[in-house]
Amino acid sequence: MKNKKGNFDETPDCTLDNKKVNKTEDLIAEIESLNLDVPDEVMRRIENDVQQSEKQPQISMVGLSRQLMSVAPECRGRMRISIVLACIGELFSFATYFFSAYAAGWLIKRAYGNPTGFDELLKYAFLAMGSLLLYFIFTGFSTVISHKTSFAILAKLRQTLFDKLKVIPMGYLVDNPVGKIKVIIMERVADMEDWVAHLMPELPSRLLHPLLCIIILFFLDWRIGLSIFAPLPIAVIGMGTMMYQYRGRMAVWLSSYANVADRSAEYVRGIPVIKAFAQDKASYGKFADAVKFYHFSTMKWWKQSWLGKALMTAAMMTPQLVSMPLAFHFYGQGQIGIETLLLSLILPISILPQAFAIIMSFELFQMASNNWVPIKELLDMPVQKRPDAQNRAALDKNKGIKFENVSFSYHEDNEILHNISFETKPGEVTALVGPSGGGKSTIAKLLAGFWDQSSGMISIGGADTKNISFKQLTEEISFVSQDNFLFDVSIKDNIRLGKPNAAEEEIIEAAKAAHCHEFIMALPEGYNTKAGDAGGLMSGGERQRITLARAILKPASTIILDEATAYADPENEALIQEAISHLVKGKNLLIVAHRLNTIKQAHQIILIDKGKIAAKGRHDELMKEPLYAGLWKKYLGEE
Amino acid sequence: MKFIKLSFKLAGQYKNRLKAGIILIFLQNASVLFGFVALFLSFSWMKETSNRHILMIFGVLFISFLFNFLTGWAKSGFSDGVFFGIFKDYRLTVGEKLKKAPMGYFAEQSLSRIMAAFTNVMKSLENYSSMSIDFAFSGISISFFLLIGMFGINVKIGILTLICLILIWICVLLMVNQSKKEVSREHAAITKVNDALIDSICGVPVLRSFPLVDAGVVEEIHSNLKNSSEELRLSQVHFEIVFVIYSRIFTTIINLSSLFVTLFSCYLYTKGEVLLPQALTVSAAGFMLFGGLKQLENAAILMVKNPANMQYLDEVLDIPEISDGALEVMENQDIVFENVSFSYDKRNSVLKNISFTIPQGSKTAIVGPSGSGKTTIINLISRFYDVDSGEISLGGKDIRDYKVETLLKNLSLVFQDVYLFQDTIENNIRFANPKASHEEIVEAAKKAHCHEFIMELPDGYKTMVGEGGSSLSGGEKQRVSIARALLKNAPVILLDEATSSVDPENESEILAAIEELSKGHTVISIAHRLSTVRRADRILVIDNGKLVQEGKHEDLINDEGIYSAFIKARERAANWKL
Repeated sequence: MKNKKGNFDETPDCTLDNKKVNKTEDLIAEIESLNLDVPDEVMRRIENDVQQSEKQPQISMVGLSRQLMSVAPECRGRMRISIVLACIGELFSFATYFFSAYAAGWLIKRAYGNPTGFDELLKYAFLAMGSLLLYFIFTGFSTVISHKTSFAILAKLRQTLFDKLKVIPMGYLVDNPVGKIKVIIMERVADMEDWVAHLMPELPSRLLHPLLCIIILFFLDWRIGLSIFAPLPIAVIGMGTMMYQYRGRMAVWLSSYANVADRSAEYVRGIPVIKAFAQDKASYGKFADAVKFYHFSTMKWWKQSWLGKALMTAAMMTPQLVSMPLAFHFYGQGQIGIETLLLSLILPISILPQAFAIIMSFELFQMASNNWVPIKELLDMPVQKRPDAQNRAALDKNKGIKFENVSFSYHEDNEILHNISFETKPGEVTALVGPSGGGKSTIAKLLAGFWDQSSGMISIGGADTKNISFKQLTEEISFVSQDNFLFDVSIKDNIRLGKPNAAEEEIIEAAKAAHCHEFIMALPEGYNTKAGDAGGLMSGGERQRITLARAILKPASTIILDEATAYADPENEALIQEAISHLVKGKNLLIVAHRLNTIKQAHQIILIDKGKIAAKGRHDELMKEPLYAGLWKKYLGEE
Repeated sequence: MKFIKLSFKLAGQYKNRLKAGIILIFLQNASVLFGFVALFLSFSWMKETSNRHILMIFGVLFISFLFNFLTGWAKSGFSDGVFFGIFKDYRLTVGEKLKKAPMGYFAEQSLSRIMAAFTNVMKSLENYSSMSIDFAFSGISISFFLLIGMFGINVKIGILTLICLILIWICVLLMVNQSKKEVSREHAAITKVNDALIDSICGVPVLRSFPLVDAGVVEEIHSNLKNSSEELRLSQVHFEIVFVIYSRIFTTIINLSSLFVTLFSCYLYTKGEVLLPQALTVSAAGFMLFGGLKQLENAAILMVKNPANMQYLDEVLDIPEISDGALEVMENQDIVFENVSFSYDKRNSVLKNISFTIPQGSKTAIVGPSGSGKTTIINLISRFYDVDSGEISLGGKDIRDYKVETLLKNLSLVFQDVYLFQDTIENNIRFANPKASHEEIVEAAKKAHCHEFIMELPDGYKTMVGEGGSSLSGGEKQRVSIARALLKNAPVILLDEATSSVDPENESEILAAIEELSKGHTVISIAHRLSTVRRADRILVIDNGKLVQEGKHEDLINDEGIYSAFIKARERAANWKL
């Protein structure tokens, strides 16, 4: 998750930066004052995590909800209705309190010889039950609506993210593991569920209940209203001791957990190595230390918070501590009636069950806002600007590929390619060679439009690639990789992707050229076999040759080939190579070459080193270059 | 309640603390009785409330507060962190067991189970278990004290309360059961979407590269994702709505209960069966106590949130232990396979009655198509698995007669997938021999051709390597692992050559490093490179679990067969030109 991220970060300005450094230092000082003997690796992690989290943009509850709703604006209305219904429903739940108060009044009147019939009481009981039924209906409808809406929002969010994949730079898809993208679309979105489906629609009505209780109490008698806050100072003191040095403890705790997770993963995954070197004692020690420190730091924190927690719970469980004696006192003095007395007894206690839910919701909000970060990042990822598919650029068949002073960087401060300029002629083979990590593959990816260059111009057939629509560009260029992905449709349709109106014969011809006709015919239903059904029957190399047949069928004028990534498995290498030979016949070929022998006869060899062109020319000319000659020496030494 | 049973099973030394905690939760909730008493006293005195009475009411409430505080504090001390302790012990126990497990146990399936147990499952249980237990037992104890109070006032009211409570508990149990069913349905749906989504994400670049495709095919391609997403959405909506309806019924029953109890006590008052203070107490207390039960809903939510794969915790504890021999000395390093058969799943045999001898000091290359059983041979020599029948001997003794440690001391394994620890490069190399000095490590690194690139790293040998070695290129990792093997200096080297061409520009460096490693040792390598094969003293050609050809390169190349075909294909590939 850490790499590539930096790409889209905005650079924070200096003053902010200073503040952050101070914050980090404060935290470190706080942690040191805890006297926990934090192990170095946990400490390093804490520093890292704090810096990372300071970089994250802060977001409020309303802000988060707004951003979420902007993904599915059509759901806004229904969400509002659901919230309003929930609030109305909540009002009806008060009926029982008032009924109780009425019943008490009825009892007292009777006791003082002023009897009202039992029928009267029953009438009110039915009214109360009616209200409860309304509560049931309103809140029931509200939650049904809100859940339907919420899951529609989540589904829409997933769809939006998935659609985004179709327009962001292709390089993101190629350079990031599928798992990482999947985690954002599935897991991160699923983690938003609590927020979207429960808190966003329910929090307002949950807050409404205790709020109304307090308002009613104030309305009945302001002194009693005030008195329910009497246990509050105790709760605050409790909270205070719980939160004392909270930030530091939290940071240590989180990081020591992360450390345990990593150490466990390392221990489990590394166990073949650990055993092979008979080092289980040492490795186990490291793992055990991490586990023990995690337990130690957790317990330290918990122990510190027990007293505060008990105080807070006790205070919250006895909200009537002062209000109840006070209410009786007023009643005794005749200042309030029996109904008010009863309500003063009941209402403070009915605040309780909501308290837990509200406290939980703040925690859930924290989680949700953390999960939102990677989602938002993908949502906000810049889109490459290209003309629409209808506007076709005129390409000159007599002109090849041209790079003019092209520079490129993933991160602003780290340029990978510097001022690359070269030109190719149509139908010729151009090879990029050089030490690994020099930037050869990046040049190929820029040409394919996987990323946009930072400066300079790339053109094909005389047209700037930025003025060529993606559709037209992909028609012109085939990028061959070791990717062997097949869709779960028939093999015929998988090949036909290269040319939708291809005749059956063309498809078979392409398959033959890619050496896959034979094994396809051996499949249960030949070309009509679904790729998914044939999954177990085809090797990786065979699948790859089907993708090559697809590329052969496509009428592209230019082929980009990254030799190192071109073969999925060594056993099929020769066959795959022959398929590629068919593919590149008579086309513009740009090859990122790793084995020099392959490109000895290339029309043009471009030697790339450290992001720059060191030399270009034919093989014989380049042999005068010490770097190129050195590469050959190394290469020949190997076979 | 399966969950509580599992908790006690895992609790070990913490069992008593867990019990004490539960008892204290009971006591803590007894504080509701104080509230009950306070109410009753107040209503008894309501006609003539003197200041003394008011103070006494306050006194009772204050005692209730203190009692709650003290029992709560004691409860925290006994059982709050108890699950962190339980899982500390659990982690350490599993860690111990892993040390003694046979390597074969770490096949992908069990690895992911262990990882799941170690991460998600434990994390959520650690955090939520004590809360769930708190809620559940609070609910039980509040019900209990509510009954005591109500029966104390009047038997008939007590019976009505009991009926209400039974209804409430039935509702809670139904809620939990129904949710469990729905949760498993939802999990199945999630798995489906996950698979479809991975497929679709992989497909995006392809579709973007072939934009001419017609709508019908695209539709068919996307239908899988669309259908499974819709299925997931429906199952989620269904789940939530079922849960919500139960939860509303639950709240409504609680509210109705207090309403009925109030009404009933008023009715009994008209019959003269209860006195005024009692009737008033019931009207007020009904709310307090029934209201406390609302927490049960939270318990139900947490129960549902418990991870579905909780049973992994149990399974992981049943890790088998490898049998250990007694021999500590190895006389020589001749390796002999005698009629060895083996299968991973006890059905499809991978090696079929295979026999061969590898004399000490020789260099042997194993060649054959993928899936022929090459890697299995190496796995068996290092006792990742044990043979089904036949015998493998090393230095004249069955390898199972040696102590596992002794056997592995004599072997150096260089894997295809190199695993590096999140530590400095130096420590990663030192891993092979913790006593090695810095000079010895540099020496090994030089021989393995990694000294140069290590020196170019920001902190040289002290540079941290990312988990699994993510910050190094494939070729670099491989050379670091060779340096490790060099430092270990074991007499037998088992080498699995990388299949994919990890930075071919540096291939010669890797070959030179392997050359260095092989000097003077017995080497068995699974070979893909021509040079390795040509240099071998002996080549074993394996096909379909059987030894089909055996000899030197010069002897085999002229025979028609798998070997010559293999060599020809490799030569063709190496000489490919564009």
